[in-house]
Amino acid sequence: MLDAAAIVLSVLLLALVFVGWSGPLRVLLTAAFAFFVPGRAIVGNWSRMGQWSEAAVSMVLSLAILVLLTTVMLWIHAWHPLGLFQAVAGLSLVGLIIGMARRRRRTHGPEQ
Amino acid sequence: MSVAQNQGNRTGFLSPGNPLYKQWHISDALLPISLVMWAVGVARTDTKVLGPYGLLSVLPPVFYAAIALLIVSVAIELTRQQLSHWRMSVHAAALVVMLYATAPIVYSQGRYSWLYKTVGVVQYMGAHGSVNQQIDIYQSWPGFFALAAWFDKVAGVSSPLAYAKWAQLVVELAVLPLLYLIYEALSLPTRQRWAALLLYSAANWVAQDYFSPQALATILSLGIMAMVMRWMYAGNSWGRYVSGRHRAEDKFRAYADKQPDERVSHLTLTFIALILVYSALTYTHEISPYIVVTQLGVLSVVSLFRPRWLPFALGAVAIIYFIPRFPYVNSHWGVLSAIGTFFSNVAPPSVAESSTSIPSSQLLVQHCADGLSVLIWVLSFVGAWLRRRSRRTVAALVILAYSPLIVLFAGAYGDEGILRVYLFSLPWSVALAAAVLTPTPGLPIKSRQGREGGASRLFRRLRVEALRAPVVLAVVLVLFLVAFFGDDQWNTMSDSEVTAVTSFEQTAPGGPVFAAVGNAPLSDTARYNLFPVASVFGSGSILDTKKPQSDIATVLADQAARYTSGDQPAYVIVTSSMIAYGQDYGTPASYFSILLNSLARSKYWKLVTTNHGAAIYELPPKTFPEGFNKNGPTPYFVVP
Repeated sequence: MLDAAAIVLSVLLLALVFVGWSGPLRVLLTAAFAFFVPGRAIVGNWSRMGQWSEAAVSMVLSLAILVLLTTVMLWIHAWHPLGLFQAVAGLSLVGLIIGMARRRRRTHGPEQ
Repeated sequence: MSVAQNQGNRTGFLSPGNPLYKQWHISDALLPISLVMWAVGVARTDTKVLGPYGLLSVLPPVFYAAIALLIVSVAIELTRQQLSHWRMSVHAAALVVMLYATAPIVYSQGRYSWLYKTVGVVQYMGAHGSVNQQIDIYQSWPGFFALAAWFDKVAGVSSPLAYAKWAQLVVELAVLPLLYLIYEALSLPTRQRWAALLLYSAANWVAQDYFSPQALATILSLGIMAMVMRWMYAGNSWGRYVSGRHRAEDKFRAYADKQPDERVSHLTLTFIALILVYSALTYTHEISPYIVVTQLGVLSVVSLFRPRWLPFALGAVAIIYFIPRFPYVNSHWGVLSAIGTFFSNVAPPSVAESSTSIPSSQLLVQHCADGLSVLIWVLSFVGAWLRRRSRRTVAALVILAYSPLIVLFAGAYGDEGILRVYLFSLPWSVALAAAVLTPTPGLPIKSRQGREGGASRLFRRLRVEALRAPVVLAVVLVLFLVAFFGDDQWNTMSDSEVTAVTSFEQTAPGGPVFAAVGNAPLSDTARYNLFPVASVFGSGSILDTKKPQSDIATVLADQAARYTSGDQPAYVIVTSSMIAYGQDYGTPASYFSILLNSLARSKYWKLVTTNHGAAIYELPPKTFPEGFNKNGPTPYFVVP
C-alpha cells in the first residue's frame, strides 16, 4: 500500500511539475514526496529495516538524501532543482517497483 | 499472569467482560467533541488586538475547554486495561494539532521575527544557486536552506512565506513516530510510551520547531537515535535484566551476519544509513551533531552502545566539516572564549534580557517557560527513581537526558545553548517523567508466590493513580500555553508590516538599515545581504537604553553618512512588532514616537513607505547633515 501510494504520489507530482500547474495540491504533494518517497524506495528494498519501520525511517532517509543532494548542488554551483527532482523521482520509482516485485516474489515464491 | 486474566470477575456496562466495553470507548465521543470545540474556538479567535499575554487573552473559553476535554479523554484511555494503539495515536496527533495548528490558523503570517531571516537565506540560495560563506553563519551550514530552496522550485511557490507558518505543526507530527520507535526500542511499557509522546508535545515550549535548520536537525537527530536504539543499544528489555555486554554481542552477531537473501549485512547497511543521515545533520545545523555524538559517546563509555567506534566516526564527520569554518565562527561568535565558562553558558536568554525593566506579564511568561523546563527535569528525576530497578534502561535514559549539558562547557551558542540542551534532553526526560504519570509495572523478579498477582496490583494502581496523568498533563499544558503563546503580541507580524518590509527589500537599492529594534520581519528576500542592520533602541544598540532626543533623526543621518561615505542610501525602519517588543523589553512607546516625529520633520530623511504596520525612511546617497564629522562614532551594522 505504501509503495503504491508513493508511486502514485511521484507520478502525480511529476505530471504537475511537467504541466507547470501551481497551487496548494502541488505544495502538499511536494511535501509528501520530500518526507517519504526517496526513503521509501530504500526501505522497500531493505527487508529488516522495512519490517521494523515502514514510514518513520523512510521519512528520515528521504530528508537526509535530499539535504545531501541539494547541498552538493549548491557547493558545486550546479543548481538544477527540477532536474534533481526528476532524477530522484525516476530513481525512486525504479526502487519502489523493484521493492514491490521482490516482496511479491518472496511472498508467492518462485513460479514453478 | 496477564492483566486481562485478573479482570474476568468484573461485571456491568463498563466491565472488560462486556463486548460493548471492548468495542466502544468513551474517548470515541470525547475526542471528536474536543476537536470540534477546538475548531470552534479557533474560528472565534480575533487576533486584531492582542493583550499583554499574547494569544492567550483572545482565545475563547471553548478553546481551553477543548484542551481540558482532550486531557480527560487521554486520562480515561490511559487507564484502560489494554491500550488501543490507534486511539492513542489519534489522541497524540490531536494534541499536536490543537497546540501547533492554532497559530498558523489564527495568524495570517508566520510567528517569530527570526523566521523571516531563514526565509531570506532560502531565497538567496534559490536565486543564486550557490552559497557565500562571508555573508553569515547560515551560509556555512546550508543543508536546510538548500532543501527548502529545492522544495520551493518543485512546489512552484515563489517564497517559503507561503507555507512556513505551518512548519511547527509538520515537525511536531513528524517526530511522533520517531519517538515511538525510540521508546519501543528502549522497551518502555506501552502506556509510558504514549504518556511520553503526549508530554513531549505538551512541553516543547522552546519553539525551535519553526521553519528552521534546528527543526530539520531535530527530525534527523531523532532518526539517528531511533536506528541506534533499535540496532545498537545494548540495554535490557523492560523488566528483564540481562547482561548488556552479552546481549549486545548477541544482537551484533545476529545483525552482522548476512541472511541467505542479503548481499550486505544489515548492520553494514545501518552504518551506511547512519553516516548518511549524520552527514545531512552536519551540513544542516551547527550544534546538533555535537549533542548527538556526545549522547552516543557517553552511552558507549558505559557500554550501553555498540560499536564503540561509531561516535568517534560520526564525530570525525562533524569536526572535519567544522575545521575550515572555524575561523569565521570563532571571529563572529567567540568559540574559544566561551570554552570552559559553563555557568555563564548555562544562563538562558531571559537572564541577558533581564537587565531592562520588564512588565509583570512578560516576567510571568518567562517564569512559566523556566518553570516548565524545571518541572520536566524534576519529573524526570522522580521517574528515574521510580524506574531505578530497570537498571540499564533508566541508566540510558538518564545519560541521554543529561549528557547534552556537556556541550555547554564548549559554548553558550549565542545565549541559546540551554534551550538546545532542553530540546535535546526533552525526548529522554519525558520518557523518564512518563513513569510519574503512569504506573511502572513491577519486575517479575519481585513477584512473590501466594500473594496478590503483580498484574492485579498493577490494575488497582492504575485506578488509584488515574489522576496522575491528567493532573500532570494539565499543569504542563498550562505552563506550555503561557510560554508558547504569551509573547505573541510581538512574535506575530501583521500582513501590512510583512508586505511593506518585503516589497522594500525586493526593490530598494542596498544600504544599511537602522531598525528601531531588531524584532521585525527583516531579511526575508534574496537580497537580505544588501541590508545590514543596526538597532537604535535596546541593550547594546546605538542609544542603548537612553531616551532619544528630538534630533535623533539628525544623529542617525550623521552616523549613516559616516558608514556609507555617501555612496549608498541608508534606511530607518519602524514596525508595529518592534513597538510591541519594545514595550516588553524596556523601550517605551514614546521613544518610537520621538523617533518617528524626528524623522518626519527631518530634511535629510525621505519617507519611502508607510502603512498601518511599518514606516520606512531613506537617507539618499550623498546626503551629509550640517556639521557632518567623518570621525564620529560609526554604528556596527551586521547582516542579522
